[in-house]
Amino acid sequence: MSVRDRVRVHATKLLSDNWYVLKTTTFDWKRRDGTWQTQHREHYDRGNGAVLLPYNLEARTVLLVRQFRYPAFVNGYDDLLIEAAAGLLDDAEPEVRIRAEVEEELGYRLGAVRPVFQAYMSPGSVTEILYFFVAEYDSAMRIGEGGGHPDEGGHRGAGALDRRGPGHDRRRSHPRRQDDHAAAAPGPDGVPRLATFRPVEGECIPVAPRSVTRFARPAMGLRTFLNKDRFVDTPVPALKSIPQRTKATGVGPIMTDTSRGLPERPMSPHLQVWRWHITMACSILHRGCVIGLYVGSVLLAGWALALALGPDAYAGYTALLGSLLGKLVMLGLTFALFFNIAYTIRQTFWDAGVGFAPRTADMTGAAAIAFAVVATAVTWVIAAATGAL
Amino acid sequence: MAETHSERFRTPLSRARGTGASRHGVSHFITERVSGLALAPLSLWAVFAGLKLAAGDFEGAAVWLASPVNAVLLCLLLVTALIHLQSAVQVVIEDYIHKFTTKSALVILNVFVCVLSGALGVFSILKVALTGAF
Repeated sequence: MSVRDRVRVHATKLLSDNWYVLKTTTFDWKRRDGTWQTQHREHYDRGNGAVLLPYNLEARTVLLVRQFRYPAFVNGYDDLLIEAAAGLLDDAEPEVRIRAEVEEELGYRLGAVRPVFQAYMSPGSVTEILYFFVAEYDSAMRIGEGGGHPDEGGHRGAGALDRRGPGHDRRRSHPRRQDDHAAAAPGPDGVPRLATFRPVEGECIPVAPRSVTRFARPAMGLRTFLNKDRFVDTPVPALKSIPQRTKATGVGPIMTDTSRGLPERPMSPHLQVWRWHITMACSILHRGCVIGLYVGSVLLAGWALALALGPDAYAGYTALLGSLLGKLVMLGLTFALFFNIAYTIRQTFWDAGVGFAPRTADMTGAAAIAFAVVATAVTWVIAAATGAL
Repeated sequence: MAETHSERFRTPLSRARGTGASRHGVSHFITERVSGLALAPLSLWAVFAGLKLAAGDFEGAAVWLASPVNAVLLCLLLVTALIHLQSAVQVVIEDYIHKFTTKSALVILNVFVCVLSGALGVFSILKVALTGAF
């Protein structure tokens, strides 16, 4: 299926061209009912990437790395992130690129690699496709220390890999490894238990998953692993339902006390962003009326001043208000006045927590506009009848 | 645990006050709501009065304003409307004008316009009500 004929791009604007490219685009999208809807989207183009999970069936291990990731850190993850070796393609073939990346980061030259699937990782705003691979590895493939390219830390901006070799080759030389591996001893069913597996910083991590079938879902395996204490036994039904940082569940990698910081401040109703619907229209109309009534209040003060200045000033002022333009302004002010009365009543109910249901809010909004129109008409009919015009 | 940016720079006093970046808490909001409520009946009265005044002339207006009820209600209408609209327009300015100097200038100008209109209006109403229009 092609949706090419359902998209009309109007304008694309470059917002940032620093490490990667951030653009914003205005386009029309043809909805199912045939109407065209204008949308605005920011899209971040950082190229495509590839990720690979090396596994060893005999040792029942996979290789992962821990890296400091600033974006994760700033979003509340106060630890090194555990990841599979990955990298951006830089226009190379995914397989070629991921081999090089595994050599750099893990220090292994792999044999056959197997593509598993590919996915758009954040299609709401990021263009990137990530190509997922798995490959068998063994110690004979070891060619170096791994740890990343010498200038990786600064060059790519995101990664600051501790440059040490894969952990399982150094376990005897590293005191903490003993404890870690005690935790990885086989459980009752003979499967290594990794529940308290805590690799040291910067090392490649051999990890034993429960079964090889997990390799068909490497992304799930990785995401699950982030929840370190529940690695093997946590089912992750979909990427979207990774344990979030909620206090309610008490799980998840991050425990954020949301009461401490200030939340992001809400955005104002920008006309170019909001879809036109009745409640939004009422809000904007209300603001327009407020500006109108502001002028009206100044006119009222001017009326009192003209009256205090004497008959001539008053005659001149009322003549101005009685002119065609003056009448139009007064007509608008009448509407604004009635609409604001209705809107204030509506908003008072909102303040009491009543009337927020979309249907109710739509209805009261329409009622406020209808009331203002009718009341304005009635007022001006009365004005005409009593000689006020 | 990474503290949020805003949290790191908040003092305990600031947190206890709970007034956030605007530094004035809910007083602005309350002002708008209460003055808005007061304006609902006052506006209806204003329409009624406006119809009456528009049908009359200078003398009729002067006599009308000599009534204490009319003078007081008109003062209340003008002052309440200006308090309400000063708050409301300030929010509009703050929402849509992002440049600090322009925004500040408009917010101050808004106050000046409202205070000047209120002072001129109330003084004029009192003058006509107390001493007559001539």
